[in-house]
Amino acid sequence: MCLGLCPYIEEKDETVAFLSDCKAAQGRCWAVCPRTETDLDSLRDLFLPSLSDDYVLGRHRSVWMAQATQASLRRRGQYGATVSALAVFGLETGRLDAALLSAWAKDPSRPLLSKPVLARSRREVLDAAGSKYTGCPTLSRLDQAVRDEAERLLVVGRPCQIVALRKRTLLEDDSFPRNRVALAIGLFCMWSVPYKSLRSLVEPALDGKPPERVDIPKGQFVVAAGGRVHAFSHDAVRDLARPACRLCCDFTSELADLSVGSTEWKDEWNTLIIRSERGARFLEAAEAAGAVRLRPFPAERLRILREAAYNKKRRALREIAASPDNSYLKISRRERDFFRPDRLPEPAE
Amino acid sequence: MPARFEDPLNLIIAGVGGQGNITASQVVAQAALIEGFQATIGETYGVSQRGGSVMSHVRISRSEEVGPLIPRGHAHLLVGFEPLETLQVALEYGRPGIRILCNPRPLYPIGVLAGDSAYPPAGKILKILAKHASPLRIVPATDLARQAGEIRSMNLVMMGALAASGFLPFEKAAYEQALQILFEGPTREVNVRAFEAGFLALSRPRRNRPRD
Amino acid sequence: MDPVLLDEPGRKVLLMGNEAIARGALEAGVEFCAAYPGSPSSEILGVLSRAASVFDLYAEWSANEKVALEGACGAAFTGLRAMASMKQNGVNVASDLLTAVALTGTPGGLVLVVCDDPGGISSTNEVDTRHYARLADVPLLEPATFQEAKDMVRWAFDLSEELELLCMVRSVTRISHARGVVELGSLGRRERRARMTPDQRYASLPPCPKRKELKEKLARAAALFEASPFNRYRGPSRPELMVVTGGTGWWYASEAVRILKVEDRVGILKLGTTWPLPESFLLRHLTAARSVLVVEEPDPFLETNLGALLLKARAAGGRRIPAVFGKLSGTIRGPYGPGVGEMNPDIVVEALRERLAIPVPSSRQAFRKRLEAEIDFPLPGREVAFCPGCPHRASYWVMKNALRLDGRDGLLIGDIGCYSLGFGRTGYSLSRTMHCMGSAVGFASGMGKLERFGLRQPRIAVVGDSTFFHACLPGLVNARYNGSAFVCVVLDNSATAMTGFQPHPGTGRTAMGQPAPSLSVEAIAASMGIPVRVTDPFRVREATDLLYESLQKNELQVLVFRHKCALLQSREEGLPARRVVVNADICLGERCGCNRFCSSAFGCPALVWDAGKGRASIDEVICSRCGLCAEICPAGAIQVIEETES
Repeated sequence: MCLGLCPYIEEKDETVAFLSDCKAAQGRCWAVCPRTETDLDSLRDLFLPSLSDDYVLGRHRSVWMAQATQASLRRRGQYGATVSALAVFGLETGRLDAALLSAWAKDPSRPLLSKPVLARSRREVLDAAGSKYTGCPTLSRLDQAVRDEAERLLVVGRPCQIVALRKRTLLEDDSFPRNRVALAIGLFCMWSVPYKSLRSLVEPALDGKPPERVDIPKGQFVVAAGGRVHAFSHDAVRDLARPACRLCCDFTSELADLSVGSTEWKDEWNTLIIRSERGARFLEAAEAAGAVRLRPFPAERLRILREAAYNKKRRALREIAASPDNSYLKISRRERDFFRPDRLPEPAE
Repeated sequence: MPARFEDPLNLIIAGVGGQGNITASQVVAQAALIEGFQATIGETYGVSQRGGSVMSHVRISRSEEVGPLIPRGHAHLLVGFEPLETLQVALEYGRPGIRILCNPRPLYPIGVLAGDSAYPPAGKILKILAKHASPLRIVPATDLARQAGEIRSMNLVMMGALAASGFLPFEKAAYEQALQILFEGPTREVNVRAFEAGFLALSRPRRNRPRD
Repeated sequence: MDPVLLDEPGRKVLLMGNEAIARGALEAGVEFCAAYPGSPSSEILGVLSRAASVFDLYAEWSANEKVALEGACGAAFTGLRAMASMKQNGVNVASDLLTAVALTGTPGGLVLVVCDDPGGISSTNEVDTRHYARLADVPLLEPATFQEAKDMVRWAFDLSEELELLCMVRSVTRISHARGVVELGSLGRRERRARMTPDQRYASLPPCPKRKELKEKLARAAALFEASPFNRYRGPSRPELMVVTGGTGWWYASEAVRILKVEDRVGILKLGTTWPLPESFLLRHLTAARSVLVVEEPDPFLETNLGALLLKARAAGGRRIPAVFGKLSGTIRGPYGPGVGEMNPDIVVEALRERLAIPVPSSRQAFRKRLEAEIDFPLPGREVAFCPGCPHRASYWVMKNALRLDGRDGLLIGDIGCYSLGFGRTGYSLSRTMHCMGSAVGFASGMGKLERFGLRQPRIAVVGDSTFFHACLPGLVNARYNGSAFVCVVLDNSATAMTGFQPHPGTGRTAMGQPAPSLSVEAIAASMGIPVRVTDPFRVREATDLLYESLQKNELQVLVFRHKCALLQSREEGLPARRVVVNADICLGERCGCNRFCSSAFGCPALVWDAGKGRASIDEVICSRCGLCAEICPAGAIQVIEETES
């Protein structure tokens, strides 16, 4: 997000750097960054009002199994291709005029690098379909998109990016017409790997072929490219995760309008969490139009989902507490206590 | 024109690298020679030419051979191409009775541009100089140079002003001959024009301030 | 006509010290002159190049100082009069040859002119090259005035031929770069015939018999120096204090004596032949003084040698030896202490006060104190900066960005030239080291082998085009041969800029203005098997990407950043017909949130902040109209307006 706001900051191969030292005491970069002071409770009240707190999954209305109805979409998208289906639906019905997504950069010297794209058609959405697992700086394009290129924008991002998006919207700024972000879809995320680390580990095996799909089935990190499937140790990849991810409490993008992730169970389906009023209405319309289909989310799967989210948050809070430099998250004492190491994972609510 | 002449007469031309300090010092020294004086010039060259502080020490004598460096507190005349430089040199080399010409247009050090230090208000600098100089004459040399058609001939404008100021016991003709000796072609034309502009600016009668 | 070239003996002209030196060589009928640019010596070869066509002599800018001195030696072996000129660092580079040619001698007059830079005003060290005269056992002359600069150089050729030995003349900044009145002498003309006869064979081995011969030559020089007009005494016959000095010290001491009005108490002994010492002359005068104060710069060279002389005299017995004061006694001291830094009249005044017990008047510095009392604001310093339009600013901007994007805290190793300023703010304080010519490649070559010791920081060695030819070739050969990994960025601005835009092997022109083959940096690198790419640093994106990609490969590479020096461009083609302006309607000022990115981050002196308007602004007096800043404004407020015919 900071990239799009400031000439001092640039990015290359997912390294974000200050190219010159800025002397501003607190700039917009600081204000929007998900790793600077973040008052989560205020953000929840602003974007998900009149919903009760759920410290594990975040405030939400309901949880579903979801998938794109069209098999052609499911072939391209991740698992149920729900995000792709919703984006295509929005664009084709005029509810959206653009979608800010991350697509493969198609750089022959950098097969696994992705870049932000502003998709306006089904083809462009499909081109961007599929999880990337690296930290694509999608929001670097946000300000420009909102200012000059779109009036009804869909933003798809990782949990940290959704937080940044919300913080950006809050900033007093004439140059950012906040009502132009029509919908925010958050992805589930445990960690992302910096591109340069993944490059060293994985790219040599790809032999220059562009990736078709990246996946993390049980115990493995898998990349399909050039008709072959390359498997790597899941743990080896996880160990390369971005250090900032260790401080992240948010598995399911709790501030998004809709959150989508894997079911870790049925490969043709996604887990879908409906959060905001706006998200609910959009989804209703998509379902009614036959773009996506929903199924009830089994209680047992919900328990597993909650356990994963709980554990991530507990680990992260421990990491945050371990060092004063890490403290950025403002949450209530009650919430913090909920994750105390001596508590057991709580049962499904 | 009668003028005080301490022997040796010590003149410092102070400015920023690139302002044409060295050329200016040669004009004065050459004029001195033409008038039958001895002249010695000491310069700061080299790295400081890249935007650093530069000084020319011009020492004029009827008979003595004098060294190229003016001792601290011994400058009789100061021609400043830039206000901050003028003040710095006045501090280091000035003495009671110092006569000063100053171009009031600041050139900002890159530390100031970066926001790490502040350039003092030029008006304040000039006020302090005016109080302690005998006298201070302000010469808007950059503007005059622009009007003369070559913005980079500010140094020659200042030499013209110096000629008109009466600070040195040289006739205008000596300076004019110096210009003929030192320059040729289009450069000479431009420099002569700039010199004239500076000379005119200071020989116009001053209405408000009494002469010291 | 250039006053230095006038054929008018007796005419008095205003000359720079270096011009006087060059004139001295012309009056001696010099035939071969070689040099490498270096402040404060560069003008010597500059003048001789201009003289070359008029006087039918040969003048060249050599690739480095060792080659320059070798070229001069070559000519002197054939009986010609030859001269090499350089700054103090050049003697370091040429010193191996110096010690050898002192042993062999040459039949033709051979003069080495060195211009030291006491105080290191334009140098990366402060070295007193007079020590080389003693080290190599060659006669040394030290001019005190502009006239002597000329006369000594002229006489040095006679002395050199008399002794068949290289003679050294040492000047300093305050003589070389100062100007004063010189009376011209008559120009020398000689029958030239370069030839080596069969019996003329010059080898510096075996060294010991040669050294014995050399010592005998020096004794003959000392005998000649006893009667030299360059040594003279002025003052009372039995002075309370005798100042013994040479070079600029003579000016400063004379001035100090005048200021303190102690002409009746202090005499000044000026020594122009500083090595070997004219011992009888010195002892005769020294024993007439009650005490001695030695004034010289920068090292106590004369002082130490005088001390040795006086000890020898004491051992011989029967003389009254005066006490000697100077740097060794701590009497002569500048702001950095004794023996460090430039000499000036104020230092000598203080020393005389101390020795003569003259109190400091209360009025001293009164003017300064009154002025200081009014100054209630801090006075900003003025750091040197790349000129507006300088391609080095673009190059350092590119290197800074590439290194930061790379994110591994890469090391930028610097070298000597205008781009040396990259060590400071104007180069975003990027360079980590700054030593001597070619050291960037040598350092990087060593560092490029340190992976086994855990070094993960990528390395960029930055050198200029002239530096490349001067000193980088052995370092690159070494790096290639020993398998070292780093990126060598060659900043090619088509000039030896810092020293005055002299041509070099890559620029296609010789010192004498003749067209010359233009040696290609990239072809040389390629011939060593080093991958090489060329780009223009003004194409910022492209150059940044190129450098970034190079940093990702862990191997030896050469990148040439080629763009002509802005001052050279301006000289050759004038300013471009365009204006670069900040559109005050588009510039958002403090509201932009960029925190004055253009003026504070980029650092071009022409990009200023107009406090009155609250907008960025371009100072048209100093702007070179290069247009580079137009790319960096995030609001697009900086515009390049091409001037069409009106």
